[in-house]
Amino acid sequence: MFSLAKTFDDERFKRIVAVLIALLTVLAALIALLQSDASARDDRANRDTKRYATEAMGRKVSGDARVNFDYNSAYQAWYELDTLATSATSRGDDEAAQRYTTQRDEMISLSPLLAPQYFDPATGQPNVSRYEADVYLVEITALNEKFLAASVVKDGWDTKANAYVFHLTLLAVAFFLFGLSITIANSITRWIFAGVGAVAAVVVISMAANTWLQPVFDLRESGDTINAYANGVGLAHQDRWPEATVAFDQAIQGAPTYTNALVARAQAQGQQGNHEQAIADYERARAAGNESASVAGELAWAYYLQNRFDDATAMNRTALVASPDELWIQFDLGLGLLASGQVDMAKTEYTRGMEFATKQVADARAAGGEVPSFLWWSLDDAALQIDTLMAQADGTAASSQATASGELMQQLKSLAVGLENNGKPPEGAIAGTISPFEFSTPATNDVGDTFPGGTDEVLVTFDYDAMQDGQEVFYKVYIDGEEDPSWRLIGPWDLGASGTAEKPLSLTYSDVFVLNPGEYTVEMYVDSHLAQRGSFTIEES
Amino acid sequence: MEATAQPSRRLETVVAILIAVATVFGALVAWRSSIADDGAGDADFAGLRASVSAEETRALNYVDAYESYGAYANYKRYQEMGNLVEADQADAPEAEAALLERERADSQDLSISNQRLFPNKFLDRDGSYNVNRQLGELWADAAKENNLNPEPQFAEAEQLRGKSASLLIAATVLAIALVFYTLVEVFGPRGQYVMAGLGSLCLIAGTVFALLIEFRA
Repeated sequence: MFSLAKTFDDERFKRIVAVLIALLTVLAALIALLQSDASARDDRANRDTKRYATEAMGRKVSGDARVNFDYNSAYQAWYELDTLATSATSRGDDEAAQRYTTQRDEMISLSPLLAPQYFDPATGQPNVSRYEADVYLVEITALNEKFLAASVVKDGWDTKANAYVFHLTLLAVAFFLFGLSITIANSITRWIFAGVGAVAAVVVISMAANTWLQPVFDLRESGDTINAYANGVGLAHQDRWPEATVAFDQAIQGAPTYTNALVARAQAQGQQGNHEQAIADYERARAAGNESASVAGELAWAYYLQNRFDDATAMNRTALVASPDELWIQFDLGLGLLASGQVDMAKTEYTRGMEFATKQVADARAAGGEVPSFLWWSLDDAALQIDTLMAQADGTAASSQATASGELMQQLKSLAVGLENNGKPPEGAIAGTISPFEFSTPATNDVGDTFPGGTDEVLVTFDYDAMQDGQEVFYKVYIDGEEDPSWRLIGPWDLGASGTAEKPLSLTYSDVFVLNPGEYTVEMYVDSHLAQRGSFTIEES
Repeated sequence: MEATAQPSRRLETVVAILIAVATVFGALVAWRSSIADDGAGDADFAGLRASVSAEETRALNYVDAYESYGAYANYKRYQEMGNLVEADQADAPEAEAALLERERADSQDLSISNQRLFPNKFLDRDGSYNVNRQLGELWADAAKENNLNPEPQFAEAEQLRGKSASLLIAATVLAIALVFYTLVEVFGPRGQYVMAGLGSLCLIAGTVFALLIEFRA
């Protein structure tokens, strides 16, 4: 009787296991099918990434070649002939002026850049940004975005395919345990094996179902999202910020977590002075996964502009953790601290930034290379922002804050000149003294700091004392806060120890050009130390 | 006892044969799927190669063509200047005419020196330079030597990838047939026939599906 019951149980057990194995076989076949499908989608997305990257590179090179011709050949010819026509007119040579004008107008047929939608002959300025956007910028932006989207898709399906391989491996273990349970005579042991096999199978089923249910987001399939973003980038390139914002709105509507569009919209909002909206978008971009130092740094800057100095400091520190090499963030950190009155901490952060800049230049020179221009921009911008902060305080800043600001600005400017010209910071202290600059126009003998439009020469006059011949003297000229390198002048001092000197800013050798309207700031450096600076304004004609 | 044992043995034999058939078909279908998948990879690679060739050609052609166009722009500028000066010479006083003559000669010399820097064959009848024709001709020349159109390869890859996936589905159906055949041994007499029937249904469906995919135009 016992033997019969045992035989019955044994048969029943084997039948149950056989059915389970059969069901698992079907499951394995299905998972294999899903794995194959995921792998195929992974391959397809991988191919797409390569294709988009290649196309973007090709379109950029060809577009750039085209725009280079349009600007550097066609427009330059137009501009030169226009200048010659103006010159001929001013010297009374009407026939030559007519020749140049006729020839200038002939140049218009050479390039679409000189067509009415991009060029206004009255101002003589082509809208290069719009032309670049139309010729290639929007197209390559869309291709680059598709490349990024395809990369995300590739990663998604790759992860799924690998997960399915893991599930199949687990399933093989379940098969093995079921097979083993049939061969074992001991009923407890075989039930243990079968039970563990069943648990493994249930785990595989739930994991595979979970993997299958996970969506792989493909931005390329979100309607016109990428094209809207690319159009927005094209409009932003033309400084058409409100229209760019609308385009980015459309892109974000299509994909609410589209971080590139959120960051671009934040930048567009910032450009329009909508700092609250900019902050909201930067924060959304970070929440959506963009934890780059640049976005954190830009968010910190937006906080700073809203006088949220503590938030700015915290966010700048976060950005520096992500990327400690970002000089502009380091200086922004110092600026925030300075603005909030934490003068000593600000000095520490600025000193750290200046030491880092010095090291970068020394390392690059030692390796026989050059530092990126971004380093010079960072130093210049840091000094400019301190200047702006002091101008905004307008004498209301605490004396320690004002003194520290002046010192830091001087240190930053001197360091930039020392590093750029000699590869090392300026040494010692400034030897001579230079009096505040006096500005005048030789043509009218006007003295002051504002001159009418059309002025072609301004004299910078100053008294000097305790100077030594042979000292390196360097002049820089900024127009509306941006340096115009064509005015740079460097050379040894040869005017003796004391006296009065004049430096002309002159275009009198031309019968066409005059000083452009704007605020001019002249800086004089002696042995890389900022010795004096002063400003004057040329009014609009 | 004898009567029930006979059909059961016959069924076992038939099922054994069907298992062998399903296994062979399954292997064949899996092989064809693998071939299609391999073909999809090759077509993708060929498409990418064509993409690279196309973009390389486009970039080089633009650089070359716009260099030529730049030389033409200079040529046109100096030629126009020479023509305009020549026109003014007729009415100019003698002293100025001599100066203008020198200016005319200089301009036309510069015009000629630039004329040698671009292919004249792309000049239209009105004297303008047809840069689009040059780009088109350069593209056509390159297309004779290299495949510059990746689309057919990518379309082929998609088609082969679809075929591979469909054949895998057919192989899965055949695998399910094997499962049903295996279960024939597990069930009683009535269940055995049901299992054998389901298995055969899967075998036929999988085979027909695979044949349709393989021989689809």
